Amino acid sequence: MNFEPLDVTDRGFRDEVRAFLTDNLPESLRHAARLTPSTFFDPDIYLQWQKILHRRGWLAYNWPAAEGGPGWTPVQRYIFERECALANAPLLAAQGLRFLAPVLHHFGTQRQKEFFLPRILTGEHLWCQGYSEPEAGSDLAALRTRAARQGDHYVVNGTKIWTTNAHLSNWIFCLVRTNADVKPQQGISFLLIDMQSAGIEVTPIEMISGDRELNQVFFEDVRVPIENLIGAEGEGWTIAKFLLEHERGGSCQAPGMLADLAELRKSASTLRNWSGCRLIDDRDFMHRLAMVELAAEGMDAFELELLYETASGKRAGPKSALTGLYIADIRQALDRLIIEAHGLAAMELERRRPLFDPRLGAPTFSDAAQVAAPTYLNNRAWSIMAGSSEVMRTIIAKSLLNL
Amino acid sequence: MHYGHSNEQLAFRDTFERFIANQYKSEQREHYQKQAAAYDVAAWKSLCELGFGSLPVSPDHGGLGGSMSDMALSIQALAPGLVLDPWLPAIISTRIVERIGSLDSKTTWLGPLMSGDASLAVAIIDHPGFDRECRIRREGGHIFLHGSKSQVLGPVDHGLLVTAESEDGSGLCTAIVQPGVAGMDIRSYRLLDGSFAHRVSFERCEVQDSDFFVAERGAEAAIMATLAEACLLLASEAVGIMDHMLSSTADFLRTRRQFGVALGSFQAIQHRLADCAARLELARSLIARTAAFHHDGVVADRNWQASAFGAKAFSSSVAVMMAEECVQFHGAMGLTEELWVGRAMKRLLLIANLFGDERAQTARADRLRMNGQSA
Repeated sequence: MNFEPLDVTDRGFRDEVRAFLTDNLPESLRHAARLTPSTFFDPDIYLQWQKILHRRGWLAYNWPAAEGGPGWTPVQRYIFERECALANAPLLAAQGLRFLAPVLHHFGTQRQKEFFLPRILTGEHLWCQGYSEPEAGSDLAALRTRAARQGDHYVVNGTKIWTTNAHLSNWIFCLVRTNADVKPQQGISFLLIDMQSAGIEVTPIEMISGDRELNQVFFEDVRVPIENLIGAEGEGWTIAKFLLEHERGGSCQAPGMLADLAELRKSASTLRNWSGCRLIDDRDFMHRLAMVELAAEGMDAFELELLYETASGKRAGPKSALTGLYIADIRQALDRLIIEAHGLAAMELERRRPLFDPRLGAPTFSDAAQVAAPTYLNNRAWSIMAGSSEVMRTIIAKSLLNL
Repeated sequence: MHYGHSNEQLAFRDTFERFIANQYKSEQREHYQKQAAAYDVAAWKSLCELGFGSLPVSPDHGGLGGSMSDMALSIQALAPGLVLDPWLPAIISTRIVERIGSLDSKTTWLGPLMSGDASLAVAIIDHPGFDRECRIRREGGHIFLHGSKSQVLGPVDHGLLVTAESEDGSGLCTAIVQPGVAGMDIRSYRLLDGSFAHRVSFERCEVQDSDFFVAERGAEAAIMATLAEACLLLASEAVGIMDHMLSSTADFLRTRRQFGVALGSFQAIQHRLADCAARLELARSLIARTAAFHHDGVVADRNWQASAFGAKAFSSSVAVMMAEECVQFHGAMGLTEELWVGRAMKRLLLIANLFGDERAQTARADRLRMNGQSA
């Protein structure tokens, strides 16, 4: 059952969002979004979209009203995200708007909020996230990048990896070790670092999909003023867990999947399998498609319930681990189906980026076929990033099942 | 859309949970199963009196007019008892009588169906491999039923409600066949969960005029909507069983020790049970949403019906996975009739196959969505 707002006010809001998207989301951005095989968009694209939303006062749509959000209900936030997904709007950069902002709301000082929050909205600050390290992936608490206090500065040494868009960002929030003599989790602090500081070097990492948005960041004697510490020294692990819950929950992933599934169902009447049978007449394919759709619809309903809970002030807690698992399981099952549906056309891998660059010419087969393989490859990351699916299962077993 | 439960729903849930705790201990269930009807008539009547019987019936006909969410939650509460009572045929028959029954049949049946004084066995769907299509033939002012049904559910001693194709071209219709009518042959068999189903053939069985229902524009849509509702409720029952299966299996894994440690400390087991828990939450959310979107016009709403069939397909796949995993975790004990988990597995497997398996459900949903053909 696809979501249709039952309430008249919600329907009115849905129509308002839809009209806004029709009038304000340029076709060039929709086209770019359709041809972006990654969860992370080119800043050229998302900054345009961010400006449009900011003018309308909707950019901080999931911030509390007291922090400058529009004061939407959970259903309104959900409707907004759903309509954006259906309209092929570019995804916003989550690092500043969705990850750091709630941390600042919750743990930041008044000065920190006043300085950083407006700059997230204007796009003056582009943020990246410094969590993982070469020796601390799923085992995040093993991180080694250290920040030594020297007067009114921390001196940071070490390295961060898998840093999305670090090459395009001017700020990074980092988990750093400020105390090596306590339990690993207790010695971690949350630090904001200006990427223009001396001693920072960024090297790109090329991924199997052809995308180059991930990087390794090296810190050598980087001096960071102590007022850039968020929360107390040693509070980093608490903040990290808070942020990871927001990273996994706090926005709805299912509407985007449902939009892709609707697209796939539509294309099933023209695409053919290797026996020459239209997919729509291939009961095996259609059954598997239906089962993924049902899982996505279940997830859609689950996310909305979770939005209610978090909006009423409850922490998503271990339930966000369920979301983490769903995003990976369902998205990846969907990507497998898309590859299967496009058949040999999905075996082309164009490594140049961006795919919407007009100099690349028209795709050999179709837009959808062109992004199928790189999307599949990139989305393998969903079961690895923000806590691997194995970590999610352990959280569920321990926190929800008390095993 | 928010799925918080109303106080009324919570009250119902408590009532039915208490019913299960008092009336459905495993030795009681064992005893019920040995009775002639394979359920306890008095227990069923008391369940009806607690409100279950009148929940699906509109206030116009003296019922409580419960919503689909009310019913779904009530079934979920009853589910851990692995109840043998004919709740499913009761809901199907009241719905069909209410939707397309003659005025006479409403007067005759709705009251006793709600109170549990009467039950109708139902067969509203055919399996092309086992059933001979049921047909209604009119001969000289009499109505006769021919054909066979292979999975008639519920007790047959008050009457059988069956769907049949009318030979006069008015399409699918429904008839109540009186017990003991000439030409009817009933062969009863036990289903996986210990309840009875019946394989029934009809050779020139006469149907009374008042027991013969034809909706003005064919009964098909009404039957399909009722079938969709029944499927959603079965899916909801599966969720209720799985809830209990998950928590009781987790309890077991915390206490059972092998190799000197609790079984639950093994990651191979933790992760598999975590997957079960995650899929269960998806099924629960999907059912809650589908139930919440139920409305008075579902007879004409093919999309809703498709969603309900889909919800059953999805829940069935989760149910079979969960049953197999949880029985496995219990080791050989899981395969004994003594343990709840094995009995629950049988009910889940039955639910997954009643009215069609996963693939039958998604095919039905696709047909409804794509060209509005009958399922």
